[in-house]
Amino acid sequence: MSEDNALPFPAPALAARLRISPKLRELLVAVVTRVQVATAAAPDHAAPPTANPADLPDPELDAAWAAGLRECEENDALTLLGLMTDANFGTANVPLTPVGAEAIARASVRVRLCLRETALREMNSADVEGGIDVYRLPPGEQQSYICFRLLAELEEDLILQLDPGLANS
Amino acid sequence: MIDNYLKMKTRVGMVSAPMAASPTHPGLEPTLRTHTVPELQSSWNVVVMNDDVNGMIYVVHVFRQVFGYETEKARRHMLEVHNQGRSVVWSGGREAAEHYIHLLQQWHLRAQLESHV
Repeated sequence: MSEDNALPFPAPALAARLRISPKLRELLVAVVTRVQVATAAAPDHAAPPTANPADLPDPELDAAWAAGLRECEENDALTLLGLMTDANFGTANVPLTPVGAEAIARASVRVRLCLRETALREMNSADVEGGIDVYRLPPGEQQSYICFRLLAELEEDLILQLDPGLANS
Repeated sequence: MIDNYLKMKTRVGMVSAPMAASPTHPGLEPTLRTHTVPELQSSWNVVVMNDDVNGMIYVVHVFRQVFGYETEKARRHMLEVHNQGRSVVWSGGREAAEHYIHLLQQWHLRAQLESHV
């Protein structure tokens, strides 16, 4: 596009805008890394839907289905860890592309789902959905819950930047 | 990623061969050919189930991304999932339904396929 046709304002910049202390950042990186390592070692990829009882087993389809999910998850995980090891993460905006922002949102969800199934499995749904004072949790769950909430905050902020019309949803 | 999966949807099979001449077994040699099995025109539902981890805004965004829905429609489905535990978010041919489920699983939503009788 020539400069004459350029828009008179810059494209809106996407960025990870989470602000956290160095100590919280350290905790977040440690928990995310631990979850990524655990899920990579024991993937639990969903099987293809087999709603039709007449369907015959199809190992090739199953393998392709799982490979597609695994590839997406691995790319997303790398993008999230790349963000968290950025020198500015937690203290300044880290610019992102839309594709990167979506990958980070998906990876954050993946980590939060894992935390919910493991460290936070004793929490009731109402507390998970509505939020809870972290000091009401047993000490063993507090760190995981803090990371769970921080990732939710990061994810929601990215989605709202990608899709500002959802602010009232 | 999804390409791997879609490739699998093209079936490979044996079809009855024209009676081709063969130097060793005249008239008996089958020919290997690929063919696509036409999908039955039945209707399949893509159903999304509730969970307590994915936020409302995230789910609306996913519906907009995967199905191209307007915000209001995506929001209606999200609320149905939240309030009733599930929502039929799309109906149509099986192959497309499987494709959508694969995309929804990439976004970590709980989605399943149901035959629409």
